[in-house]
Amino acid sequence: MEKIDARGLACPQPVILTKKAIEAGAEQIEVLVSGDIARDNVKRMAEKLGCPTSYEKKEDCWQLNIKSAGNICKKVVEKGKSTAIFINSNKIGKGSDELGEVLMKAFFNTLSQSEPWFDKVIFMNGGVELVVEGSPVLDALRCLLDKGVQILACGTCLDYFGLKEKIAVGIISNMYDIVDVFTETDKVVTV
Amino acid sequence: MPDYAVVTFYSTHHALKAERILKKEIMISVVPVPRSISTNCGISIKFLTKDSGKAEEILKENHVDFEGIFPWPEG
Repeated sequence: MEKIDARGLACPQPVILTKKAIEAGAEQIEVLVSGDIARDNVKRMAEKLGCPTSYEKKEDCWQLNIKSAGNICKKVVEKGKSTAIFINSNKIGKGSDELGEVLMKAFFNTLSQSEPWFDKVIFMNGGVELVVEGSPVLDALRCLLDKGVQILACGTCLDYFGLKEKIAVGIISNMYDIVDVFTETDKVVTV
Repeated sequence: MPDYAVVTFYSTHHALKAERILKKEIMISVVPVPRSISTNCGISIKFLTKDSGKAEEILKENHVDFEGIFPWPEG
């Protein structure tokens, strides 16, 4: 039994420590984390590596229990075509901000009307304004979510803009996850 | 499925102005002009057909030129 105390550590530290332990071949890992976001990020990473993960609430933290019987922990690489869309601003392009905002709305409204040809949409920097309450493209994003598209918002960015509590669609992610997406995805479309 | 209509414009500037004004009054979404409707400007505004009259009124009151209001094409 390997124990990791990741309480109070900044993202993505808990994920990195846990990943290292799994890759080192630990069979049972107990991880303590402070917040919901760290808990979800660690769980997602472990499950992506094929390790069944459960968690329980402790007095001042969450305890994750990860089973990683060595050989079952082969990285699950998704085969076939996969595409991610990378949004790094709340508007499209440079020139006119007003036009850029309207173009972004038209972009998502158009995406939501067609069958998705992409698996994930990633939001960073000013792009995270699009996934929070009051965003003009919330309905379109919910529609994409219903069609099975994953929506990832950079936690650091939400935090920077003070929007972490206001996220209305998708999941809060971290650089670790996002770089993984870029690594595993066949094509990344940056808007 | 509710019925939708779409208003098209001669200029993107008019489309942007219309968006600013209409969104205060009715539910709208900004969409590219459907391919089946020929126009001069790529951006159009979609709303419920029942709001068509109101939209037209608001645009005229605010002197926003528009090309026409068309039924949203099926499919």
